[in-house]
Amino acid sequence: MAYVLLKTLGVRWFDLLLGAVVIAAAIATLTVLTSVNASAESQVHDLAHRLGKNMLVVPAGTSLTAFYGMSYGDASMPAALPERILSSDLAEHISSAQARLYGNVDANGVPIVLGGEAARARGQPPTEGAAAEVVLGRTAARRLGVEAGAYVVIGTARLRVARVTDTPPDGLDLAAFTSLATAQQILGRPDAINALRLAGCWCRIDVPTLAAKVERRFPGTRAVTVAGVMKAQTGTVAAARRYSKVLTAGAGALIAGIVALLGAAQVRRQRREIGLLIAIGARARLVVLLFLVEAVLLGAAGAIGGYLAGHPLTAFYTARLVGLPLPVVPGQFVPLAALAVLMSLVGTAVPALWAARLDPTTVLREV
Amino acid sequence: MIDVRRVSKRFAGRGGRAVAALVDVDLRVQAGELVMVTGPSGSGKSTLLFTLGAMLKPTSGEVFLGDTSLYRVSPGRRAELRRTRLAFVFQTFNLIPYLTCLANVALAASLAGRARAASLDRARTLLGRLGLGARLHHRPAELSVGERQRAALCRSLVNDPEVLLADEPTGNLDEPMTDEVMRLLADLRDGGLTIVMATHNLRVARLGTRVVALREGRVADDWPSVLPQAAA
Repeated sequence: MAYVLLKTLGVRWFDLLLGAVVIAAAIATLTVLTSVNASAESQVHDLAHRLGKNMLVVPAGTSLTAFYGMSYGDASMPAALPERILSSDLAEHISSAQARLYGNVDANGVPIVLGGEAARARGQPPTEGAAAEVVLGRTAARRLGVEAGAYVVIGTARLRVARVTDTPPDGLDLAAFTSLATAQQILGRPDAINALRLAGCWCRIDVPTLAAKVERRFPGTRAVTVAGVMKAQTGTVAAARRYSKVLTAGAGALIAGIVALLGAAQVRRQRREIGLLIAIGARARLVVLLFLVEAVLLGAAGAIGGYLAGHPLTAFYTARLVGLPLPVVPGQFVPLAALAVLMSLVGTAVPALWAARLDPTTVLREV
Repeated sequence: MIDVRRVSKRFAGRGGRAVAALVDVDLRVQAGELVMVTGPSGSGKSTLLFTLGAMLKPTSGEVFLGDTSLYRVSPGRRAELRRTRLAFVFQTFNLIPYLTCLANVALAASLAGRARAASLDRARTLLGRLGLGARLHHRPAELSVGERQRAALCRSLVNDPEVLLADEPTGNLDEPMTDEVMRLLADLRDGGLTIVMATHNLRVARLGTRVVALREGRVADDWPSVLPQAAA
């Protein structure tokens, strides 16, 4: 019977290919969605870890999702903001300020993140890295194909790679770090920063209160704390999860629907063959089994195709949505394949029962 | 062997009116008979054969194959009877178009539970015996009409059935091929196979050991053929 099944599949290869493509599309969509959701969740934890007890001040119009997705817009704050904060009455709570300007640039034709930094401790003059040097995250170095000591052209500047680090600031592995002045020059934004990290001992004031004071005292800023970000990101993840439930249900329905349509088409087209099988003694359950096996194969083929297609699609969409081409979250294949196979089985149930109940005395006499 | 007791079969017709295909049919077929069921179109020949073949439950009455009442057993048991004790040949052959001649015949053997190799061996032997040894790997479309009917006959015989039911097996054949098929059936009957065959061709009908004439679903005549040995 396996031979007959294989032959049947061979005869209907185009229908089955079409069905597998639709299932693959559904599974690829779910692969991307699950990966985006998981990345958003992991970003929350990563962010909490990176922020620690510190506070991040960004321009008020900054989209944090885009910011943490390494997609930086034009919003900026004056470069003098650290000095103004450190000379205000809030300075007693703040021990140091790191001013940064992030931007998206091309280096040797590869899109990377450029970060310029100038740190300043309370009562101390600002310190900056060497103007003509850059520190690269490991991934950035690999993509650029450079090592320490080499030169890299970022925007309009030719900079020497001082070192390649496995522990880049804020975990920005796909970034190049240089002095604030150099970044401002390359990005064409003199006297602008778009991130200010404040560190200190919050023993006399709680962080949310200090954040509110910073925003009030310096209009146009937004003070980000772990508590606030966690709340916002958790909301985003929850919304994404709700959305993903709808999409998962939709994908499942699509898979069941396409398999049901294919099954129904098969029953209509191959009614004589099915009728013959019944006439020569095939049990109803064998007919049903043939449909179920076909559904399992179709679902599995679609799942494998969808999962494979999901890798480049996840990289593509996460690059657009969160700014980084993220990998597919491991461990997704089994549940997605189970979904595809299960919904294929659900979809094939009605045509299979229809086929098993075909009356051979009717179909075999049709001319 | 086969005992048909007061079998009636009614189908729902247009407007909810029932159409009687068989009316109180009584028929006994002994082992080794070659019974020809004749009658004009719509007389109930095919309905009777399908009923004998455990495929069409009568509206009333009973059909026995030996001691087994075909429609008192489960559908699964009826399927088993179709695999093992009963066989069917159709006017339109009903070979699966995308399987080779060999695979079409082996399929029936596989359904009966034979291993694939054994099924293929058995199919190969039968096809060789019926003169299709050179056509094993041809698909139905590549066979002549007569060859297709012989292949269909092989499929029906592959599980050594006790009864062969043939619904107008010569209906699509020309005269020489009809004679060839009838010679085969006569040989099989001589080998002990019980055959019930529907035909509206009186020349063919006379080649049976017995002729049963149906008219409007009733047995109108039942007589021994005057030329029972003609086919041999």
